[in-house]
Amino acid sequence: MAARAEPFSPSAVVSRGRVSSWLTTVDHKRIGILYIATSLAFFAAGGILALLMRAQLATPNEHFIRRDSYDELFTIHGTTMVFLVVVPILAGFGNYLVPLMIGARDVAFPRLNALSYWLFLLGGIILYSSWFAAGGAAKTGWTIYAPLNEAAYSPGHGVDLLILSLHVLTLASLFGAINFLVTIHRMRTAGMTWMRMPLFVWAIETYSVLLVAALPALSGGLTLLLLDRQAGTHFFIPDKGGSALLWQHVFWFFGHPEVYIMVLPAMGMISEILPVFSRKPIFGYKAVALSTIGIAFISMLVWAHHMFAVGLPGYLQGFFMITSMAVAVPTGVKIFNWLATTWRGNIHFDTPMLFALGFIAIFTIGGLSGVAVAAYPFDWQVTDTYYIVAHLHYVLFGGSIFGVFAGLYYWWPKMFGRMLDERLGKVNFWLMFVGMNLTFFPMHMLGLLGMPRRIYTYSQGGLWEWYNLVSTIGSVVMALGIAVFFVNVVKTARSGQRVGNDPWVADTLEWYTTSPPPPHNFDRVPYVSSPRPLRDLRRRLAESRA
Amino acid sequence: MRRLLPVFVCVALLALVCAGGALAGNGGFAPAAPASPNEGGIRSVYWLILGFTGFIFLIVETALVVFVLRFRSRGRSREVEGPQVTGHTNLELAWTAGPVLILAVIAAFVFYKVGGIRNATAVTGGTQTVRIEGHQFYWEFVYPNGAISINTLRVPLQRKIKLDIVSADVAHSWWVPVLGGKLDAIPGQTNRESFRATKLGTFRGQCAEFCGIQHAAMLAYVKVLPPDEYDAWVQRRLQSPSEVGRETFQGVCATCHGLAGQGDIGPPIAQSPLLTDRNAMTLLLRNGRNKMPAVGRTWSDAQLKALLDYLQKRFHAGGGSGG
Repeated sequence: MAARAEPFSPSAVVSRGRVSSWLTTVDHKRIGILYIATSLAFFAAGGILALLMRAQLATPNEHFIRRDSYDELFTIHGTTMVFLVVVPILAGFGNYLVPLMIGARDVAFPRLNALSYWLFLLGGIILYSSWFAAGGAAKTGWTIYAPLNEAAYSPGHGVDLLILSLHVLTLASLFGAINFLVTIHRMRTAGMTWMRMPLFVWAIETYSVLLVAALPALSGGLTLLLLDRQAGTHFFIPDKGGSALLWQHVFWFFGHPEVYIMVLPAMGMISEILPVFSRKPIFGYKAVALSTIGIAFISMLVWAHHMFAVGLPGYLQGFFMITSMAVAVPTGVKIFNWLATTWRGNIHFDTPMLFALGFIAIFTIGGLSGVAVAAYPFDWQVTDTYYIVAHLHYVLFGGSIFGVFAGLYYWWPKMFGRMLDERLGKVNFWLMFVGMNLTFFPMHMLGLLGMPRRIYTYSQGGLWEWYNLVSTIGSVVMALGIAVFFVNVVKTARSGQRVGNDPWVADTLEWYTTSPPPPHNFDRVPYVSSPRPLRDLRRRLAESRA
Repeated sequence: MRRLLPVFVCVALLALVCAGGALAGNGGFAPAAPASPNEGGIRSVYWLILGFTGFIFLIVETALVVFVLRFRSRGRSREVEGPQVTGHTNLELAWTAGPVLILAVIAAFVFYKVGGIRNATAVTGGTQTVRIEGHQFYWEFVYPNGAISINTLRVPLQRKIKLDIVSADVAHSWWVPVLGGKLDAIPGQTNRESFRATKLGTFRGQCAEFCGIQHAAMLAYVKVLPPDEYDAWVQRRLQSPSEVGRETFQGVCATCHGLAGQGDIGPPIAQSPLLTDRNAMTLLLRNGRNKMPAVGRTWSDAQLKALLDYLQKRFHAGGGSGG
């Protein structure tokens, strides 16, 4: 117990320096902020790649980007957004919030936690250094399908560096996940039973279980691919007895749980934010918590719905259609419970709430188009088209990223003691909301019109051109919104309004301590007797005054 | 109301986008209008799902907007709490069971329809089996009598066409939207489906699995002909290697080297002395070199000869450089 409560402390000299204290920190809050800041930097980078692609596709027969450069763009954009933005930024929030929410002093293994972060940064640097490798960055798409990923079809070191980067990143995520699991299982404060745990902690628990279950498949697959490319094996080379399809199974066995890894913690944030700004408890706490586990469980059984066009036997396609549709049930439970949470509330439209409501509005579209593509005959028509690009961005941008922005605006005052500017926040939200829909909604139509993914140009005018142009304009609007966020950060750092412990009058323990919290988090933690310990405390205070 | 202005702007813009689409017929609001019963089945699945999901979409978004407007704080302080309702078991059971029922209906309908979507029902006029080979970056079609065509598949109207889909290199995906869904061409396996075309005309398709640098240029056309015209064509094609040579050049070589051999992502070849060196050309086409894929790895000697003859005639006949 004592060892766990005392984080490793480097020599006093190092820990006092302004830069060196961040480089050597093992404080979960600082590591969380490092995660978030680094992910935001990669978010900007990945966003610029996306803007370049949209510029190339704005009109037919563009020559803005050379075609193999375009292939690098979508490969690195996808890999960045999945592995360097959404997963790590959620890890950052988990790092910052989980110990505070469960009333702990730090995570279970603070040094392992620091290792996770530095591995993540290293993985990101490796990925971006691959632009300078012989043959340039990988040009295979983030799914790295076999046998295009083999040395014969992808010479140079782009794919090798992508493999190395993903290996390092999976280790980072795996260490982080184990850390979260042990922390949540062992370090909850007195009285915090499983059914009194904040829903965000439930989400991080589930996120971690999924990471532990799914990441080894990716690591294994990447190792086989590396052997194919460098040691002359032929796991994925059909000419020599390997199987190209094996890669797809391995990749999606990881890849589909990964989708929920990216969405569940964002849903957890929404479940924290909606009640606070509706001034009500979450509607159906147990159902929301259990639906998280339900989604995670089913998500392990749906991977081949990414492979409906590969020629699987009919009964397998039927099985994967049913499991994929089943995910919609617990997801629907969440959405209906969220709606019921706002019912008869006292709704305050602060920026975190706007993003949370935006999440519901947009994620619903992504969820419903998910039901459509689960029906495999329809999927035969739209898989690998822009319809899928639209669907996945409605889920991952409208879902995960909107959740993340809700979280940034909500917990910023806790992290830095200053409120992000509300006026800029609202401009930020509306630009992102409008831009997001303008960018991604027309992509549904493009897919139905027959536009495949991952093409660097097209020759059709008419509707193809019109929808593509609208989409490009939308991407600029969205980029402006995100730029406003960065302006807001700078403005807030200079002149943001200072706040006390609990500016939102919230429910969970992180608001009990100061903003920002001291290194040891709490001087003492109140006994937890419900999922809303702070509200309990406020009521007891009010009663004792009366 | 000022708060809501951006919502209206957003809705108006979306409506504009949709209207633009709707004006031009299908507009991308449904899968392509069918030229085969296969695609007809896909469309009916789509409309059913769109009906249910559209209904749920309306419920959720309406509830969201109504609740948010109706229960907004109107200046009440944060200290004022809403009713502390923590759940309602029956209600929650209802919105768990409701979607289950809807999904069951959709799944049942899919199972009912799927047979006719992947495979055509038998009809009079017999069955033709065509082998489709995906290559970087072209489609090759082999007809029952051994005739070959590149990038344009000819099929007879109303007959059942069986497809054996294979790949000679990386994964591709065979897809002509008006005729039905995709089926991948994956090396090491043969994927089978069948369809029946019900409309005359030329229909466009495109490789749908990213297959490398010229994936975007890997187009496919299906030309549906009256059966007698098709029969005549497929016989004629067998006896005209020069046609095969021309199609091979235009569909295989020109994708990277340009239609006049002027060079594009591949170097210019119109003046290349290599073109007359049959041995070197054979080696190059069979094995590829640097960025050039082994486009001719699976070609028969006759097919190879057809291309080499065409190249010779087009680029080097009488020392000229044009065809």
